[in-house]
Amino acid sequence: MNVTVAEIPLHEVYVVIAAYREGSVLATTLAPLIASGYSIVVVDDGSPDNTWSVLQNLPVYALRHPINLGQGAALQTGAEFALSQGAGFIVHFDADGQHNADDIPTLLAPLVEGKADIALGSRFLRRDDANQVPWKRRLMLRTATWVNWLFTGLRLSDAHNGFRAMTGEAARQITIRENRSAHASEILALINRRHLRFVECPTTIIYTAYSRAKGQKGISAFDILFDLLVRRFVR
Amino acid sequence: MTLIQIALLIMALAVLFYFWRLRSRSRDRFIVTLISLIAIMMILLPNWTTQLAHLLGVGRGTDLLIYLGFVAGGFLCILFYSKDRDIEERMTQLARAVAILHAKLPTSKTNSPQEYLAEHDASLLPSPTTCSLAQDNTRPLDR
Repeated sequence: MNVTVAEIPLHEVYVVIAAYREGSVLATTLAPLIASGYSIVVVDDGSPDNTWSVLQNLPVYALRHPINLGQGAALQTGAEFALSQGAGFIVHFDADGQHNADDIPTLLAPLVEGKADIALGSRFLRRDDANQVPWKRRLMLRTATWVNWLFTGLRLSDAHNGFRAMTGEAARQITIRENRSAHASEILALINRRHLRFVECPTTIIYTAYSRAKGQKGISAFDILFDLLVRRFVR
Repeated sequence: MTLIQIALLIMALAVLFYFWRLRSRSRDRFIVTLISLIAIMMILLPNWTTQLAHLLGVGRGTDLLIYLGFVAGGFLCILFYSKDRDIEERMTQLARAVAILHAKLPTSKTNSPQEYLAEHDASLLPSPTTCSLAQDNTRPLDR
């Protein structure tokens, strides 16, 4: 019996968002998600700005880390909370508005149809999406996909695309322990280790001046590499 | 005995004293005592170090100590790094528990979890008067 995305109750889909200093754009980012009827979990990662107060007036689950821990830690907190609420599916979504809420059904489809346990968004599966990516970024991401391949055994078309969807069952098996940016690679490593079935789905990235300014600097790639390297040898 | 020998001896004894008086963990005590005794021997008998160096194919006793110092430094780096990760992990678990405990639900118009819980299920709230330590959890600072 085939089930389609249209048939699953949307409130069982938990969109988990890590927010750090996103007070100015959070309401805009959340609006289409709220309108779509998903359950939304926003984890304020100890932001010093008005992120937390913005959340108070929105129909979302809002959690707050008492101290700043990093995006990976915030996503893990959100996922644990979502699972405790009985989430059937968990979607990771960026707070800065660079992901398109309309792409969520695309990611959910292979999960609902039972073809995969986790769906990863990729900017490089459609030419139009790929052309959106500035060339410097493209070069860096290409390198990152190779590094990921080396460390995680997963060869993908995109790296550090924070847009992904997984079944609740898969989410239980993916416990993020990398608090900061290395969590993206850690998730790939866990997919490999737990033998989860994954697919890449085309997603659109909306590069705004805001998300570009907020996004990772090239230099942070070295931090990620350091975390990945050292983590292999030191427990 | 030269001045430097006296100065180094005092420092070695101070470290020994610190670990014997202020640290309770027997494993730490054992390691520090061992290292301190070797250090004291090396201070009092510099020739002993040089002979050992020659035995290992190193020119001077001082050079041998430099090499050993580097190894010890690297080892300490790894030790502190792994300790740091351990602390970060515990801190993360704590912060996560606090965040989940104080989650704001979408239906709630109130800001604090206390208000929310009071509205919905007062039994979930610990009453403030019973908030005391069930037992004395204090223990020495080191673990």
